[in-house]
Amino acid sequence: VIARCISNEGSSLPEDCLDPAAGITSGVVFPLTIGSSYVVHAITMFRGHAWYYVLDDNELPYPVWKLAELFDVTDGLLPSSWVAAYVRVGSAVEGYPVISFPEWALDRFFYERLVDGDPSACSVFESRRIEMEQAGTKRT
Amino acid sequence: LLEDSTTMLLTATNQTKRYRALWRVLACLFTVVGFIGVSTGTASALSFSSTVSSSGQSTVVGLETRVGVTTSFSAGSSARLATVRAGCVGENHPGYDSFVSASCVATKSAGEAAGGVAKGPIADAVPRNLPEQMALNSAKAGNGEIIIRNLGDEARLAANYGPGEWVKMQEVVKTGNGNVTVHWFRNLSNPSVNVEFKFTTGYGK
Repeated sequence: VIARCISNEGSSLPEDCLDPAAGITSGVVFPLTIGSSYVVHAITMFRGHAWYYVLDDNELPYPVWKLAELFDVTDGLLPSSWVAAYVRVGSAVEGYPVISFPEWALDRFFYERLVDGDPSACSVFESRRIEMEQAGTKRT
Repeated sequence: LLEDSTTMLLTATNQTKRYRALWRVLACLFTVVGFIGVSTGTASALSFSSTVSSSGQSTVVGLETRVGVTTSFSAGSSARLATVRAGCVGENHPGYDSFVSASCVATKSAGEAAGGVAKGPIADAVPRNLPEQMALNSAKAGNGEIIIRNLGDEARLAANYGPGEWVKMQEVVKTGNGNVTVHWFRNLSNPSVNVEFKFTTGYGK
């Protein structure tokens, strides 16, 4: 999945996307470049909105979720290895879906370990990242 | 059935009373293992025991009961173990076990493993230079974004700082020498509570 950024400003988001406690205000500028394409490494839903995990312009070694409203999908083909999961925390009925490669989608704490720099998670993500980017290059 | 089988076997082999007692002990052990599976109330049930190492990582060792067949496993024994690490959703997706990489280490935080709070509060990092000071100031001024909800460390945070919805925050400040990234925890139930600020190393350019 490849998405092209169409906006990087909080002011362009629908009102119900704004959440100051979460750092999403009308004045925020997201580290994205309008017109640039980003490989989507995972997709989730939260509070009625889709979110894409992309390697943004902060150039961190892990993707960070961004609201789908900031993008147009230019290549919507899902990798054949991806799986869908629905994560529930404890006994909660309501959870959230995760669509990504299996190591992420099926392991609730994979992303947390990735952000914390766990070598195993970083290694898995690095190989998946290369796989995704190569797949995207072949199609374009 | 086990009793009958035991009796038949013993009769056939004409064992002494001493061996008969041994078979009874083994039959009891099988009954206990079966009870573990039944007590969970599902056809596919898992039970765990955990040990916590000094590095804060735990090794999951336990039994898997699936339609009456119990299999024991230990850390690193298979990709299956990675799926069933506490908190994984693999239990709900048994068909996807084979997708899980063996490199997915079956570990969890010390707090989880202990079933409680294994660590106390962690002090804020002390900035070592001006860029880190700027980044920390920016984070403490209320900037930053949520990057992780539903944290594995939530029990520890709640015990140390109070209950609520704990999330991991991130603030990235660009400087002439590259980015400085700050991570910390925020209680969304009381967003003024922000704790355990730290600088990530080796991240960003």
